Amino acid sequence: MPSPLISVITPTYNRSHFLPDAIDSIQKQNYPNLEIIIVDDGSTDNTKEVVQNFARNIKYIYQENKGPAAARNAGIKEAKGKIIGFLDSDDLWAKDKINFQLQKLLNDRRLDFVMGYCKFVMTDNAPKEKIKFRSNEDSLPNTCIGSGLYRKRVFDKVGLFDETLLFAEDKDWFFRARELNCEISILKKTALIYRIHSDNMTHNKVLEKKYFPKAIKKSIDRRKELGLKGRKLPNWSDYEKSK
Amino acid sequence: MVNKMKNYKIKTPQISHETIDGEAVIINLDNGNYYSLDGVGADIWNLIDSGANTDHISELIANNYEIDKNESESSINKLIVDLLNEGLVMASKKDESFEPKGVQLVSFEKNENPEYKKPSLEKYTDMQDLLLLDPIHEVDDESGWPTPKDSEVDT
Repeated sequence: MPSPLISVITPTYNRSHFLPDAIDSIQKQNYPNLEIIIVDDGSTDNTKEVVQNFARNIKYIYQENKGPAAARNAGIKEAKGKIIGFLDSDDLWAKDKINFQLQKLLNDRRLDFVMGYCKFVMTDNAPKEKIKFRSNEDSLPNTCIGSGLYRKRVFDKVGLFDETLLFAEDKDWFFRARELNCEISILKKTALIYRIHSDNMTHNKVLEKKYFPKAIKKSIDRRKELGLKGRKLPNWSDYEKSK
Repeated sequence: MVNKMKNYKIKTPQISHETIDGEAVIINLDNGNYYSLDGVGADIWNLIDSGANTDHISELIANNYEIDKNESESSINKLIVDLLNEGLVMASKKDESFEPKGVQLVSFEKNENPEYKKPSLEKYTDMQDLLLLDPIHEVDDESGWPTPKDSEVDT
């Protein structure tokens, strides 16, 4: 299998205690042609030192705190690879993620991006009693950005992440991708390990309430503008069946 | 069956909603469906949210849009049947504290001559599978990344 350059973008903010595991999970993919870009979104902890300890082959970008969408966008602009992956600093890539997703992308040039399943795990400080899952399945399809592998060209087609959304920017981006009939394939294999901890669960609730309706409203408005009012977008699971 | 002078309330917490630029976006977190209501529909939704009973709502809508009260009543009843069928609202006890004068209607907010168009609930099902896969969490204190300033969270 050819090994095209893959740019991996890790936005981070005050997560130096999680970051080494995340970087480690990228390097353990054993892929020979990686560009790792850490976008430090204004951390006030020792993130910079932690990154420097990894030394070689990691590009470190610092910016003032602007939120995850802006940090990912800074990474995309910096990326040299024609294929892009993302990993939030508190999550982990599953073993073999690059391999099985890249194979799919290389085998089908029409595909704009490939998604995998997401496995939610509780860390020690996760507020376990306050979280419940609607499904008993261990690993699930999801719009976690980190569970996909993308051709860089898709960001020309769909655009970058919406920096006005401090949350649900992933759902917004996937709305746009579906509205524009992107070629998407979901592979039924775990690509991302999403670590649930006290921090990511607390802010999500507040931000979700504000930003998720905004993301939906933006999509409804776009569909009206395009004369697609009421048009049904494909369900996420359709991309698993069709390809 | 919708009764005159009856109160309804939005089924929280499973129904999350926000009115943005005159359009009410309603999300049913139980089944992943989402909905939109604009114009008169958004007004009725926000009046239900404010605790107005169907009689209050009917009067306000009739006055605001300069339509016959019977027509206003029948539109409201029809919309409420849809909202009940979709599990977005439920019957509730009368709220004595409701003051109709305190409610801002979408049409007033936009400062337009409101044109009356029968309310219609737009339903979307394309997020069903995704919303149902997100873990539910009930934590509301502390903060984490991307820690927004308080002013950014408050609308």
